[in-house]
Amino acid sequence: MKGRLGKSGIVFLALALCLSITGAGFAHWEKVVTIDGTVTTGTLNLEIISAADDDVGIDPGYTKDVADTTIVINPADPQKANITITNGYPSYEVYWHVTVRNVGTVPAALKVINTTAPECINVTAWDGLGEQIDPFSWGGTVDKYQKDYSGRIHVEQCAEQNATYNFTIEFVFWNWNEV
Amino acid sequence: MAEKRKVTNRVWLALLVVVLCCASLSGYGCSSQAMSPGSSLQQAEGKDPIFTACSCNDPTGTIDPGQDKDVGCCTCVIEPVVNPTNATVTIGNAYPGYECRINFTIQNIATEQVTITIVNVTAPSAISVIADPSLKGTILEQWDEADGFIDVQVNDLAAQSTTYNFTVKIDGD
Repeated sequence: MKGRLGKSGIVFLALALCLSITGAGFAHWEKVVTIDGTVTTGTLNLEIISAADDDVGIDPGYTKDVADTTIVINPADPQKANITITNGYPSYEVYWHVTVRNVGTVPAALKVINTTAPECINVTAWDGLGEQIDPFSWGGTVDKYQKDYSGRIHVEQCAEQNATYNFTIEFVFWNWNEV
Repeated sequence: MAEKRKVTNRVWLALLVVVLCCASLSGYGCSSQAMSPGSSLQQAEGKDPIFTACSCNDPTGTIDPGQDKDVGCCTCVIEPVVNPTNATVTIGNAYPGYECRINFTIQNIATEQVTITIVNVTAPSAISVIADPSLKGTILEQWDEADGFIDVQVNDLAAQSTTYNFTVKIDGD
């Protein structure tokens, strides 16, 4: 019994060694060259740096100071402008003007202008879609890194009396190569 | 009967010794090739194929490939003394749609032939890395060189101000 156990042990050892040798035989000379790459992306970031409207007293196109419009840069999202119209009336119209600067590192182009204006407030924007703005950090002339956009607000007949209208205008920019 | 068992045990012992000798010889066989006195220091360090050249088609200060502005940039560096088996690619200020090509040259400095068997790319989904398909199967004798390339493209999945890493392993037997 003792002898059998001894033999089994030797057989086991021999098998284990054979397996290890087989493994060594299959192992090969590996020669690896490696390319390690790092890609760091830039930033697409634009901000409205000034916003104004042309109703600074007498209503535009009229002879009386009745309605009032204010336009301010949204402090939480400087790509938006908040507009408020008070004491408006049908056919009241006002023009808004904003200046947008590219404060990122990638050139941008205007993809679309969105507004949350209600149905009875008609907002139109001048055609600036597709215009490119280079990063401010690149320097150059002002017209390269910031653009002026204007639009018109018109109060329609369906506007409610005694109502204050608040809405936003949002500028959506994409990286310039995909617009 | 006891004598027979003794003989059998001796046979097993002899077999074991033979097996052990084979194992030892096998081990020395590998080492002797790499560490023979005639081998160069580079062979001793196992640096068989090495990078001898590496460049990118969008160096700093040039218009991005396929675009009309100089926005992103790409560099490729090899350290011939410290680690010639590694090339380091750095792409900066990239954006969706950015693409560049890295060209490189591999040389076999070992005495034995090397066959490129696997070109393995590891990259996140935000970037596409495509390695030169013609590299696989290339046979390099001593001092032979092979040119290859990788194409890198940034996808729309890429986030802003983010760093992505990729690796291309070129494996040879």
